[in-house]
Parts: sequence; C-alpha cells; structure tokens
Amino acid sequence: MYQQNNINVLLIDDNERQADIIINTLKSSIVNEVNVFWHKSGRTALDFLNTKGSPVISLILLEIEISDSSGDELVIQIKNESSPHKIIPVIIFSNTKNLSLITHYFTLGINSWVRKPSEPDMLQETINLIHDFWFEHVILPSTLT
Amino acid sequence: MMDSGQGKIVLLVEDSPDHAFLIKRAMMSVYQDLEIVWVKDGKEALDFIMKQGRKPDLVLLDIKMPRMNGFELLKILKTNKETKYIPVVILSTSANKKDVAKAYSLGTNCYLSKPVEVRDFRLKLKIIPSYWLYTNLLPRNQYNEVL
Repeated sequence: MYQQNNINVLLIDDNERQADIIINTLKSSIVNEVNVFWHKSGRTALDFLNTKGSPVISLILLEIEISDSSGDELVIQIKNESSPHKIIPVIIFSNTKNLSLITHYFTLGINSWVRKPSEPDMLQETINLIHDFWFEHVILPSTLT
Repeated sequence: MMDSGQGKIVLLVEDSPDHAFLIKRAMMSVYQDLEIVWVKDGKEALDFIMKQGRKPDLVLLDIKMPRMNGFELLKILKTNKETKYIPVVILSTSANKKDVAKAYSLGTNCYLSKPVEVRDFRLKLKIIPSYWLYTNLLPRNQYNEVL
C-alpha cells in the first residue's frame, strides 16, 4: 500500500450534519493523519486555495448541490488549463446520479464522482472506501512537494 | 462472491505481456463478466478508441511503451472533446515525481504505481475495478448514444 501519512482534504458541503460525519470519519483514520478544511461555499473554498501560505491540499471533496450553486464555478476555476490548482484531484461527492451531469463534470476535468448516501452508516462506509483508495493506493500530487 | 462487470469495457494499454496477463487475470477473478481489451501501445489504443462504436468505460494506462507512450495518449484523450470524459488510470512501474506531476497535469484521473511484489500487485489490481467501476459513478459518451 502507498501510505501518504499527512493529508489535507478540502471539503465543500453546506450540509452540516453530513459534513460532520465526513470530517469525523476521515479524521478517525489510523493509517494517515487527515486534516479537513471545511467550507460551505465554493467561493470561500477558492479564496482559501488562492490565499498565500494555505496548506497544500491533497484532495478536494465537493458536494455539487450546494445552496449558492458555486460548485460549478469552483470546478471550472480549478480545472482550467492555467490554474495552479489543476493537478489537485477533485471528487464530486453528491447524492445526484444524473448521468448527463456526471459526464459534464468529467468533461470539465473532475477526477471522480462518488454517490453520497444520506444514511449515516452508509455515508461513513463510502467515506472509508474513498479513503482506502485515494489515500492508501493512489499517489497523490501533494506528495510531490 | 464474484461481482458482475457485465457490459463494461476496460481498455488495458500495456506493452508487457506478463503484466497484461497478470492484470487481466486478477481483475477477472473478481469481475468475471468484465470485458478487458488489451492493446500494446498508445497507437493501438487510439485506433481502438476512435474506430469502435463504443468507447471504453475505463482506460488503464502504462507510461513507458514503444511508438506512442502513455503521456502522449493521455494528452490526446484529455484534449479531445469526444474522449476527455473517459476516466484514465495510470498504472506504472515509475513512482518518479516528474512522471506523477506530468500525468496529473495532463489530466489523469489518478496515478498508481505497480508494486514489485506480485501479491501486492494482485491486491491493487482488484481494488482498481472495485473503485472505478462500482464506487465511482461512470460517465457515458452521450454523443455516441444520440447517434
């Protein structure tokens, strides 16, 4: 297994109850030290990424259906050719399973789309699957710095 | 229990027959209905993708290959509007920082290294389809579906 050890996740989700479960599950990892930076809006998340001295983000976990609809803008800004953040993997973690929308976001350059279950146990289980794959097997670009 | 991979195509782009054999066998031990198409370099992969009526659901891509290497193929796939949505997973013996950075900047969906130990390699090969074909929701080529 490829262990990353120190991982910074940027979570964008305006559902406090679900964000809480996601954060606690990620932080409970015994393999890696996972820090989660949580934003409720894509706009503040983008400001955070663009702030000088911000921590190196290993992975972005994005709920695309946030109330201010800023998720779309965030993906476009991050994955555009000249973006300094282009290499950060973006996983859309959303209850939506609309095939046109999934294809649209893959075309924009997202790295993966995982359906977010609403049931807490299933949500925890899915977060663990994401953790296992991305943090124990994938070589993340953040390990290059 | 075996899962079904029915209807899903994985395009395996790999010049080593030994690795290709290992990859196909490990994946199909879990997903017996998965269709794995093996091509030996980027040129063959491009021919398959462009000429087939159906695009692969996932591309599993080695980097170092003759004729057209993995970076060259990745760049073509991720800049073509008809193929850029296809998830591409790099599976390489190289864990070199430059290679990893280049792959992500060209748009790979993720980068995995090939473990030296065969046992570890087999484990990783089972995890790839498990994540990409089941945990991850796959996009579809709607352009082809309309046609």
